Parts: sequence; C-alpha cells; structure tokens
Amino acid sequence: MNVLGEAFRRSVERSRQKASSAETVRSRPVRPAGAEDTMKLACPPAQAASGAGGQAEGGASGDPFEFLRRARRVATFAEGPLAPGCDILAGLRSAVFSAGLATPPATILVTGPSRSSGKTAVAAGLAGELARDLLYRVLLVDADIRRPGVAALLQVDTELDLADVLEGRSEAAEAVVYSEGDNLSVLALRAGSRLSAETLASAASRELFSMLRQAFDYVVIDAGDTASSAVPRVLASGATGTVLVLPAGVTRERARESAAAIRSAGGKVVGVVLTGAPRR
Amino acid sequence: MTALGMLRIGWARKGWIAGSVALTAFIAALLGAMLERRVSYVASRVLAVTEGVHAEAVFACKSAEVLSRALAGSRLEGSLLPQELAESVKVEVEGRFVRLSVERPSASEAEYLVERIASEASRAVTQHANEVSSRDRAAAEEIEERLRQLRANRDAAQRELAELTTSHPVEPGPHGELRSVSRRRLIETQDSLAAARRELAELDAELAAMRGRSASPEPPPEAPPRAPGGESPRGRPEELERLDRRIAELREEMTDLHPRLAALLAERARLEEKLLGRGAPAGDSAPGTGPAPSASAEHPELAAKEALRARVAARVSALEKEEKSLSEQVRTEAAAVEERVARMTLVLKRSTDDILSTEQELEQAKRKAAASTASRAALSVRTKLPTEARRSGASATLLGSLGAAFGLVLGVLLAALAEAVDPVLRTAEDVMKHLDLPVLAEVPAGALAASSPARGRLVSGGLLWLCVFVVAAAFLLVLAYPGWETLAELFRRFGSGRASP
Repeated sequence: MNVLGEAFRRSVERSRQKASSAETVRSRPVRPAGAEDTMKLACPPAQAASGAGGQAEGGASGDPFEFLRRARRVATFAEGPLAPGCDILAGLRSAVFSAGLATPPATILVTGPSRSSGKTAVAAGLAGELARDLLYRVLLVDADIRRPGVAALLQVDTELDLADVLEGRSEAAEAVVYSEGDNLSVLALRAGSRLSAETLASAASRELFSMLRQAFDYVVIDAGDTASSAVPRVLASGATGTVLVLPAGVTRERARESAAAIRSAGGKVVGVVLTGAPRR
Repeated sequence: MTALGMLRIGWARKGWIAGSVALTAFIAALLGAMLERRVSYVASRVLAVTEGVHAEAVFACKSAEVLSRALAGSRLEGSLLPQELAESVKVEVEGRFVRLSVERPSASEAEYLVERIASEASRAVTQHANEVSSRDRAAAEEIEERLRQLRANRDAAQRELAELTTSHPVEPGPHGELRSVSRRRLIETQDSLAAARRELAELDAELAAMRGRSASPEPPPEAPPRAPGGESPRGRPEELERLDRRIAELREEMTDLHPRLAALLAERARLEEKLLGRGAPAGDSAPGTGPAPSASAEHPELAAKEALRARVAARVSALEKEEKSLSEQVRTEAAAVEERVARMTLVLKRSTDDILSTEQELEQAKRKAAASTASRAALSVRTKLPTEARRSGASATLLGSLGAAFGLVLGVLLAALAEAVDPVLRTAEDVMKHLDLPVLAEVPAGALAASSPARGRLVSGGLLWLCVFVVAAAFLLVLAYPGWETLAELFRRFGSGRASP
C-alpha cells in the first residue's frame, strides 16, 4: 500500500504540474469558489445531507487519498468483456487523451442513443484502462438509473451505492469500493434503486461529483442512454467530455439527436465509440 | 425500406436487397400466374352476363350400347326441362361418350342445368346398366340350371349303362350266362336234351339186344343216331358222327351261341332232318307205330320198351324244339341288349356334347353379366366450365422467370438507391462523414457478447425475411402443385357420385 501510495502521489503531482504548465485547466468545470475546501470527503450522512444544500464543511480536503483510505477494498474486480490492456482500450485511451482529456482531473461521461449498445462495457473498460498503469486515481460511477450494470459486470458489492450517498444514507467514501489489484474505484448503483434524474440534478449531486473530481484524477460515469433517460443531459454539463457509444446500424437521426442532447445540455462530445462494427 | 434498412452491410447487404427483391418479384409473378385464373374466372362471370355461358358435361360409359340405350330410354331433354330450356340443351353421342352442352346467360344457371341433366343421365345410365346386369345374371342362372339338368341326365345314363353292362354282358361267359334267365333255361334244356338222348340211346341198345335175343333175322330199324355214345355205327352216317364229334370238341371251348358252333348245330340239324326224312318209317314212326304192334304182340316186354322209347323220343323231339326256340330267344335278347347299350352310349355322348356347349354358353353369359356390372361402375361425369378456356395460357414458369429477372434488375437498382440514401451508420467512415465526430474506437461485433444489438437485429431481420420466404414458398407450392387439381377433381367426382343414386 505504501508503494501504491507513493506511486500515486508522484504521478498526481507530476500530472498536476504538467497540467498547470499546459494551461489545460480550462477544461475543468467551473465550481463555486471554496467548494473544494469546504466539501467533506468523509462527511457523515447528516452532514452530507446538509452539505447537499451547498453547506459542505471543511474536512479532509487537503488529502485526496483520504477517500481511498476510507473506501471499502477488494482485491480485484471481475473482468468485463473489454479487458484492460487490449488493443481496443489502448486505442480508446489514446484517442480520449488526444480529444482533450489528457489532463486530470477529468470527468468522462459515457452515453449513447440506445440501450444495450455496450456503454457499460466501454465505460468500465475505459476506466480500467486509465487506471491500469497506476498513474491516475480513477473512479467508475454507475449513473444508469434505468439499467445499472456496472455492479453486475464487475461483481461489485452494492451494499451502499450512489443512491445511498445522494439520499444521505451513506458517506461517499463508504460507498466507494476500491480494488487494489485494478487500482480502480467503483461507485455502483443497485439494480432496482429508485434513483431519479432529479436527484442527480440536485445540488447534492453536484457537490458529490465535484468532490469526486477532487479526490480522483478521472471519474468515468456510465450515464445510460439519451433516448430513455435524462441523466446524460443532467450530467453532461459537469463532465469534461462525453463519449458517445453508437451501435453499428443505428440511424443517423438517433445518433445526431443523442449528440445534440449532450451539446444542448452544455456538454462536449469528444468522440464516438462504434460497437458491433464489422470486422475488417 | 424500413425492413431493408435493417439489413446488413456492404456487398452482403446489396446481395440481400437484390436477392430479396428478385425473390419477391418471382413470388409476385407466380402469384399473378395463380391469381390469373381467379381473375379470368371473375371476368368471365362478368362477361357471361352479356355474352352467355356455355357449360357442358361429358359422360363416359364402358359400354356404348348401354349408354345409348339408357339415353334413348331416359329422353333427357323432354322429360326433364321446360320447352324453352330444352331447346338450349344439346346432346351429342360419340361412341361411348355423351356430351351435354347448355347455353345460358348465367354461369350458375348453366352449371345448374348441366349438373341436373348430368345427374339425371347418370341415374338413367346406372339404372339401365342395373337392368342389363340383372337380366344377364338371370340368363346366366337359367343356363346354369340347364347345365345342372344335363349333368343329371348324363349321370343317369351312365348309371343305366353300367347296370346293363354288368347284368347283361355283351361278351358271353360262364357267369354272364347264368345271370340271364333265358340262357339259364337254354342251358337247362340242353342238359335235359342230352340226358334224354342218352336215355334214348340206352333204350335203343336194350331194344336191339332184346330183338337179337328174340332171334329176329332182321335187325330192327335203327333209331336216329342222336346219342353221342351210340353203339350202332351202322345206323349213323359218318358225316353226322363227324359233326357230333366236332360239336363236342367245340362245346368244350365255347357255348352254343358262338356263331361257329351255332352253324355246326344248324348243319347237324339239317343233316339229321335229311336223314330222318329218308328213314322216316324207321325213325319217327317206326318206334311207335311201325313194328311195335307185331313186336308187342310177340314180346310184351319188347313192346313196353318200345313204347318207352317212343315216349323218350317224343320228349327228345320236344326238347329239341324248346332248345331251338330258346336259342332264338337268347339271340334276340342279346341283340336287344346290344341295341340298348348302343343307344345309351349314343345318349351319353350327346349329353356330354351338350354339357360342353352349355358350359361355354354359361361362361359367355357370366362374362356378359360381369361386363354389364362394370359398365355401370365406370360411368363418370365431368363438368367443364368455359372459364377455364379464358386463361391467357402464359405458364407460371415463364412468368416466374420473367419476374425473377425483372426482380434481379430492380433489386440491383434498389440496392444502389438504398446505398445512396442509407440512413444507417455502420462504419467509422459513416460516423465521421455524417456526424462530424471522431471515432475514438471501434469495438468489433462479437467483442461485446452481452451487448451486440446489431447482430440481434440482423438475426431478427433475416429471420423475418426467411419466414416471409418460407410462407410464400409454401403458399406457392400449394397453389402450383398440379396434383391439387386432380385431388379436387376426384373430390368433386366423389361428391357428385355420392349425390347421384
């Protein structure tokens, strides 16, 4: 753990220096002044609920690793259909970096125009690939309120989940599950949880995600599809970039509508992942 | 276009489009060919209102004679229809076929008339065939009865002939002779005659001895040498003696009925007659009348002997006459039996010939009865409507081929058009071209096993088309299969056959 912590520390400092020198902070979302300082990373439920009203009190803001220290830990997650290290994910990581998300902290929203197009697999694969070389702290958040699939895909314990955090039943650090083997943290969502898009649009949600951005270098959010859910629109504005997952065979109209929905919500579509593409 | 849009990518998609359109056109062409009948049928129904409909029925019967008789007997036109309808019905007999044709303004009316006439005619033909068949069967039964009687007569003649040949055998023999009363009597008479002759010979010998003892210088006149063991060779001519010997020899081998023996007996009788005629005073009358009085006068014993001899001689004479008559009777009787046997043989032969010819006659009658029964069963009715003749004649194969070729061309054009206006994003090029967004990664089909909607849709789209093709092909098979018409015809025949008695 010490080795891991040292590696994290070095990599984070290096990347922050690099980011500040490259002046890439423009991609970071605008946050209320002092929010980083006042948000408690490990606030108790009552405080978290009060914090949802924008009154985040100061706490472990100075130590981003406090979050990881308090998170539940597992050895490894299960492997999804796209295993980190494969060519596809390596290419995706490079493309994501090239598309303007090379500087942490960044929030990557993964969405698409239709269900069952492979969004969860792509999000999990991208998060795993980002976390693979131990340079970044990466959090995968399942915000697909219609069909949450991260927990099932990675075999994550959902005793406490995103809904618990947003509804004040749990602290964020307690709901996060951290895998040392994968260097990946996951904030899952139980199947059947009644989390709504309104809750995700609330101030508490905004606070939570801004806190997560501080604690992690990359936050990858599986947001569900734009056709049946408002979550991508809600979260698009807070995300650094949005990746559209398009299944081959989708009509141009739906793809355009999906991209337009993200853009109209203030998000930025950085590119497309085409799934089910014909083999060349 | 939506269904086409579900199809897959590149050349495979073009092939799908072209092939499916070609197949669709092929199916459409075949359906058109099939539907043409219905269309023409409806059109002909419409035309029939103005032009009139010609309906006809064809009868076929195995026996043209039965058919023509039945039709002549049934008087179809007159008995069935009113005058104005009867005029529109034509009946033509060609061999064993009868063609009924009706011209009416309405197809249904024409069909109704033809069906009615056809059922009536088939009933008449069936009835007539029944009558002919029953008549033929009755004739056959009559011939069979006659044959049975002829066989009984023949058996009776055979029995009688067997009885005749056993009780009155044509060939004479020791047992056969005994069975005949006349023969038995003849043999008894002959035995009695022989005994009487021996007695007469003994009497003659005694008489001669007595006469010698009485010193009579002259020997008494010799009795006719009848007895075979006679001792006086002087009184018997040699010829007679030779005949007697010959007769005795032959009698050991055959009966008196044998022609040779009968001839010898006749010759001997003739010779004896002659001898008796020459020595009449000494033969016939001498024993009783000639020297008897003088002798009796001299010797009473001699006289008594002579009287005895005279009685014996008379008995011999009577026995000879009886034998003669009996021989004649036996001959007559044998001839009668022979004649009767010959007559019975002739009767037997004639009855056998009669039986043979009657058997042939019976066979012919049975065959005729069977043929008349078969002719009733072979009657068939077929109604031909004019609508069938109004078809264009274009075959389903030709239309199908044309449809397939046209569909192929159309399919290629449609594939090109679909390619041009395809609204679907399938490749990274499509995405970059139409969305103006970079493609960060391509995940090939199959890499996300749990999330491959495109493949699911491909399967469902292909399955949909496959189902359409299978259903269409099955429908076409049902329509195009030529056996269905035969089946329908059989069903119709069965229905009409059951309706008609």
